[in-house]
Amino acid sequence: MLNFKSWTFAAPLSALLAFGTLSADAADAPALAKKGKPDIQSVGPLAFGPTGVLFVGDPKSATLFAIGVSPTASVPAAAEIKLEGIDRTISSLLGTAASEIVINDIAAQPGTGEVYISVTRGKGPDAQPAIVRVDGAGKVNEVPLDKVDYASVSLNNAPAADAKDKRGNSTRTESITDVAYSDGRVFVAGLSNEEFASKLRAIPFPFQEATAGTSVEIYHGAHGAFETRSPIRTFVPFDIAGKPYILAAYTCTPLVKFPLDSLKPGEKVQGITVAELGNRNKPLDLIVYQKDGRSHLLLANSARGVLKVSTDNIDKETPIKEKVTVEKAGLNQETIANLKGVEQLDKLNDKQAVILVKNEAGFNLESIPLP
Amino acid sequence: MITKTASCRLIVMSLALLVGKSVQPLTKCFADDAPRINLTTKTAQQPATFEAAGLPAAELNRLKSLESTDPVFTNTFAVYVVGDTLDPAVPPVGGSYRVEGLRLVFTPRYPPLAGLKYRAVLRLPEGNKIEQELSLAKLAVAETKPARVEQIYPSGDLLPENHLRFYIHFSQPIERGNAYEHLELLDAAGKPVESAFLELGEELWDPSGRRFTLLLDPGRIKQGLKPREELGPILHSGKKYTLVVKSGWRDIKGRPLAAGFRKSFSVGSVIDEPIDTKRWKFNSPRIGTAEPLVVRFPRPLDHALLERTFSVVDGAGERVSGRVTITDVERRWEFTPDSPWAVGGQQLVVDTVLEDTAGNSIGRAFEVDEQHPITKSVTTETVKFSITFAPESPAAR
Repeated sequence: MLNFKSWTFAAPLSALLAFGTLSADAADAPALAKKGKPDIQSVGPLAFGPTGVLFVGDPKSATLFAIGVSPTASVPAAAEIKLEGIDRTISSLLGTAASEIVINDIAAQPGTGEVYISVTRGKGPDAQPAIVRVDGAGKVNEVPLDKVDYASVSLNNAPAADAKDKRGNSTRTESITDVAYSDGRVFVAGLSNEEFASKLRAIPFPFQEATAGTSVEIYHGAHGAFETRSPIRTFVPFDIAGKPYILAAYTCTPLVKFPLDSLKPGEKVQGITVAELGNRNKPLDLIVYQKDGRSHLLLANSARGVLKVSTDNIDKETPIKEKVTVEKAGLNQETIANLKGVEQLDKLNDKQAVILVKNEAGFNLESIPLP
Repeated sequence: MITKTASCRLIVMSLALLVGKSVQPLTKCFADDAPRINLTTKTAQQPATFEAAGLPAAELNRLKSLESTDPVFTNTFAVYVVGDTLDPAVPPVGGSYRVEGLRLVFTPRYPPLAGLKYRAVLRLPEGNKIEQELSLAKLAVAETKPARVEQIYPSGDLLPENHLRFYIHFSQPIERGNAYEHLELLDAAGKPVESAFLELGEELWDPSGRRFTLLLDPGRIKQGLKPREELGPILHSGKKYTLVVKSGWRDIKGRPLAAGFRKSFSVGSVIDEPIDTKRWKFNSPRIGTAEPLVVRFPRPLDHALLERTFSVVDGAGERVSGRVTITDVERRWEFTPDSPWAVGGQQLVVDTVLEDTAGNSIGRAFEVDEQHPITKSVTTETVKFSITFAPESPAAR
């Protein structure tokens, strides 16, 4: 049973959100002004933006990269993806053992049937990043990053981040928990290994540079970070009654909606809980899709499998002050019974999702019909 | 001019004529002509390469004209990782090729892993192929002791019921990827507390890989959330618990910890108040000495944030260098300047992200919901305290 209640995420906006509608498409080359090898030090979440642009979150260097990628020529999308042991395939390609890689995220390039996978090769502090691509024929290749069109923006707006421990090492890191693009902006959720406040940043794309030749952090302390008091695990931009929202699944289980136009400098933002996902459970990944004229959410969870959540009542706004009972109905949900061990998912096309499934032997990459 | 390969073929043909049947393989010819594969490391700085010798000159010339990543190369010379099972679908190791003298050289995109077995396959134009299993010997590293847990913060043995965060410090970098398998919270009877930790796939390590941040599940700390309503809080006031770090956790050299580690603690009441800096107590070091500046807090604060969020600046706003020690179960912060205190406007600057062990920060409690509306918020990002000094010591005059 879902719990429909209001819950306030106190969100003092410590900064200006750089809003504005900016857009870029493949022909709009200045969006990716640099050419060469981006200095990607680690790879976390992936998300596709305007046509041909892949966003790559690099938590180690606290940087968001935008990389130009084009679909593999003359390989049409297959009707089905079913790659058993994708971890072994990837580790072999990277010249290492399956136990020595970590698969971080998957993202399907819209309209191509191709799936990009971010991978960490090695498990120590000097582990190496890699991005691999599964083409329409199911062939797995490493995405060469030596000569690409790219752009980047620093996410490191914490001036104290250079603080050192007794050994002289910097100790603070910020994981990037999810990245999504919507209407000229990239949203980035992060979680620090020290303070609990997580950050959700709205970054206009194309990224902006203030002075020629200098890569400028447009998200300095006072510009562009929106802090909540709980880390966002995964989120998706979503229009409700024609207004843009972010639907975010928190590590402490509520599914919360934020109207984007409420994110204004100096104000507190109240997120409204639209569903709770239950105990012993952590949300892992979230997509939104249309079927039979209705919008649905598909949410992978650590313990409760894959949930299909109806958005029929999502436009309701329960007053924040109202105390609601656990039993009060929220959004209807349904567990997709045949999906077990799903750790990542993305929308492959209008009819299919692609999922990364963990089993005893390793990982499989599969397409499934959208339920 | 007759090449070595051509001369070899000539001899093979002559032999065939002599004995009246085909003589194979070619490797029986000249040792230096024989197709062979090596895994070589020239210097520690250069990546190891797989090298194939014995390809005919014409073939090498053909390959020379190709781009270094042309698929023709992998049809000629491919390197595979040898797994537990022989899987024909496994692709060859990615990398680039070049012809160097009489050898075809494959440089993997990532350095080969010492100790891992690779199978190199060389296909010859005649249709023969040779295969060889190769591996790099594990480098003899200066033997260091296996990693051990050096400290767990908070260092105190009384934690609040809404305690949020532990830091586990190791002596060496630790392997990432399955941290939560090696951690357990036990109650007083030694029974594991169910669903105690916030398990994050990213795992919260510091850049050195020696400090792990462990969060208790905030869904069971915050009031009114389903995990807490159904399972109750993780910690109960008045009870005892033990955080266990199991010895099976491996360091990045693959060795288990020298020993497991147990941190036992008792649980006290909830702390749901913001950090109140008005209750901090400051000493007054003497001008002209390098006496430490000491700040005392009424309750323990977060160890990592105490190290990061405090700085001493001089009258010009420049950071004063010095040494920080944190003692008295994170209730005492001490700063010893590198140079004696000079007269003039020093301040202690504290970033308001500072938290206590339950996630309450300066001016803002951890838990903010409809039962605890936000009555005030801290809009500044730092709090500044003027440092007061005792008169200059007679000895320093």
